[in-house]
Amino acid sequence: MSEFLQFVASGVGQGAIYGLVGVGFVIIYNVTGIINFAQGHYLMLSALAAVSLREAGLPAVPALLLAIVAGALAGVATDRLVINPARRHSTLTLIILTVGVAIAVEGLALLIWGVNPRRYAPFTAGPPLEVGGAALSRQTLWVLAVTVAMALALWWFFQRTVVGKAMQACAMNRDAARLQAINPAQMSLYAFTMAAAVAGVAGVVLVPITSAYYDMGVPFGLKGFTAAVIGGLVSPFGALAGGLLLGVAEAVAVGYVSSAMAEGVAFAVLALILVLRPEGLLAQVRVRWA
Amino acid sequence: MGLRRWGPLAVWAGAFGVGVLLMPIADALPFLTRANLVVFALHGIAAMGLTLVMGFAGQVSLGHAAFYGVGAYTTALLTAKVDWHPLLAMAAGAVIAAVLAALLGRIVFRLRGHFLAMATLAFGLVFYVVMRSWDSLTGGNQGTGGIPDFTLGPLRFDSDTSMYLLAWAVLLLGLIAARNLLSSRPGRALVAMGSSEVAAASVGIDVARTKMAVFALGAVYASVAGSLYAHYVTYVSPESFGLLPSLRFLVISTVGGIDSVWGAPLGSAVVVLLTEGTRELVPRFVSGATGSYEIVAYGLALVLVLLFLPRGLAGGAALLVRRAAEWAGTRRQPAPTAALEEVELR
Repeated sequence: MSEFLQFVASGVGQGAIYGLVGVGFVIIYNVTGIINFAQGHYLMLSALAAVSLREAGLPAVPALLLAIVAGALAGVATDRLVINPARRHSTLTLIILTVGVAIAVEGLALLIWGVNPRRYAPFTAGPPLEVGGAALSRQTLWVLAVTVAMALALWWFFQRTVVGKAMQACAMNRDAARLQAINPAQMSLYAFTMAAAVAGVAGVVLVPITSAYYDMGVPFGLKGFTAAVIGGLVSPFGALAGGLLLGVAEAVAVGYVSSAMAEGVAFAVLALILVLRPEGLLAQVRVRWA
Repeated sequence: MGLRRWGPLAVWAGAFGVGVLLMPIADALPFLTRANLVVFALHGIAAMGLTLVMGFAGQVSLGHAAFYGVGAYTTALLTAKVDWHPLLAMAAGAVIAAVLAALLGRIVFRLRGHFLAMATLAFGLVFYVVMRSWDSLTGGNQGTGGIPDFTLGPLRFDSDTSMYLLAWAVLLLGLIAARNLLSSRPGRALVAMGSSEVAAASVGIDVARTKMAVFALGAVYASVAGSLYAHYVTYVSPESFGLLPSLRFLVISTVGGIDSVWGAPLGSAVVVLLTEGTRELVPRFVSGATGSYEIVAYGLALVLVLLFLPRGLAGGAALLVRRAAEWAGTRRQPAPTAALEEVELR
């Protein structure tokens, strides 16, 4: 039992990251109908930017904030330079466009940062904490705290702000939203910016755990997507829950079977859900957007 | 009708002739090697399958290289280890690829929306991981070698030049087969589905089944190309069938244009030049560049073509041909509607 608890403890950190990436998939998919292939690449950009800023000697807080802003700007650029000019094309075309963005960004990252993984030290030094017989690293606690803060911020944004409500309206029915003077192109910009910023936050808290490397965009994107699909692709909170489930499932599979399983778990889960419950595991407890 | 029907074939014949002439001197030219001329055709064949999937099923596959890999590994194992005839091994690969694609399609096409993109991405990555980890069968990271030359009766394809002839012949066969298919009854159903799924369903076309069939057919094209590739390089390893090759096929199909079977060869030529050009030029500006940085060019090409030439190079070329035909006065009928026009172009 304590062994199992340990796997859970090591899985929740990764899982929260998958969840945060998944939130971006949900927001963009619902507001624009696009599955954004570049979602994991915002995480990669922010993570690598944070490493470079730290190496350049910037103190932690401004370095991480700047890195998140850099990720968010990549989201803005995706929407303004690529998605918005092509918004009259089919969804298929728009999805392939995001693939193009992802490939180009990954190639640029390779040219700028090279192939070697890089990292910085955890936010707070010290030995892991003991929680109910399982060791929980301090950085994992940071990840969880940041994830909870992000969840609260998202809830506040979608529930309490006009822009948040407008985005929800756009997700429910784009034409009806238009009739209420909501501009879908504007909402698309907000969606991409937010999705990229949330992924950027995930990126900068993740670095001390797994390092940052130029081709981390695809695996984290795919796992974030799986997290979002577990949640039914309709609710940011479903995606967060889905991410935690996936992270723990991965850690358990690695712990009980072998580390070669890590890659397979996400794909197996994705396939199973698409076959058995395409509406997502959490459809019954759906909380919509907040 | 003449220019429209035979124009592309004439262009193909011309390109083939140029290829034959280039063969002896290709290695001396910038951006080009003899191997490029073969690889161009192999990628063209595989990407043609993806063109059919994207153009008519309206779905994007990010794991097309896995089917290429199914063909390559089937050929590698059956010809090198148990001594099957190359043609038989190629057929076996095609069957396996078709069955895998049908299974995957069965799962995914029940769903509305664009799940195939992510499902095929996952499928491609799983294929890559399995080929890498299943040491006893595939040789793992080392790959598996000793693949004999392709033979056809007394013919033995053991040089760049002979592989060039073979690959281009198969490319031509693939083109003609696709063209003929599209003017057959099931092909008409495909074209109808490509322009409007709802309309196609309303005249009794089983959309999910038809999509599955196209997806399987696309996999067969990739698998055949993969088998030829295995004979050509005589050695296969997982690297050739991972995510990057899948993305390369996507770029080839999209840049070439998914409305026309001619898109794949066009796109393939562009991608060969892009790849070689990037590998030549980037190191001059970025010192110590390593890895597959040609993906920068792939990404930019994909975005730029879709933004400014959404129907790809073949779409642009078809427009030119049509203009030329109109200008030459070979078309007498009044301008057809856009939809009819599109159907005829295929």
